Amino acid sequence: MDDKEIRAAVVAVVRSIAPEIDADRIESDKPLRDQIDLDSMDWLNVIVELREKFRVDIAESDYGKLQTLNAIVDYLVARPSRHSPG
Amino acid sequence: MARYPAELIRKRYLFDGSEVTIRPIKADDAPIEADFVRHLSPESRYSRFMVTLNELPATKLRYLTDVDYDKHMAFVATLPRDGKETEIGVARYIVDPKGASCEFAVAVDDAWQGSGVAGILMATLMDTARARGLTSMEGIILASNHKMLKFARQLGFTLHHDWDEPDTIQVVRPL
Repeated sequence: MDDKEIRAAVVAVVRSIAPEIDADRIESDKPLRDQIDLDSMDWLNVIVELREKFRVDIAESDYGKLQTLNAIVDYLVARPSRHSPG
Repeated sequence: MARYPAELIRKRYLFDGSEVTIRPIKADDAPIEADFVRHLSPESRYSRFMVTLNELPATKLRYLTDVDYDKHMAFVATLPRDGKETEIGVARYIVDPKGASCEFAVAVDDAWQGSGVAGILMATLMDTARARGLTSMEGIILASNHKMLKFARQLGFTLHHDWDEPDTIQVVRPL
């Protein structure tokens, strides 16, 4: 997966939790939770979905790095996948 | 005096990257518990205690902090602020007299709501109750507290309306 595909897949994960969002209006360098009405359990579900979709381990101590769309993509690009994403 | 279960102390991380300590409450925590309650918004305080109060009476404060870790278990979430340990959330359960189920209560500082700390506290509480052989957990939530009702649903609780008590909703889940 290249960066663009990863970005699209991350947006798809967020949309699966918050289907009402307009993906075109997401500002990549602003915290996602400032733009989308996601409570803490929704956000936890986003992280769980990212973990499963990309087959990566996301340590709780890394949660603070996953604030913006750009940051999430950078994080996933840098993480070795356990398997090919499904 | 009950033995302090230090083996249950954990370091956890919130969504903003803050490191918090999740640990069983202790009698010495009375001052930070009092500060915590004092700093809750009136709405949060009412949601938690279901009465209007500004300060916890000394007897209530002792009841909330000096627990036996058996029939009454409570965890606080704390982090350092201005050089001292500050409580940002607390969750507890009380075992019912039959010994199989328990009733929970949780409160989070207004500034830390949405940080993930309530989920961590509740997961810790449910894991502890389960490990101690309890089979169900229940709670009473104000019917007007939609955020808390959604949170309970997300944690796997089912909602039960008692039409004799229309202002509150009972939530229950197996452990």
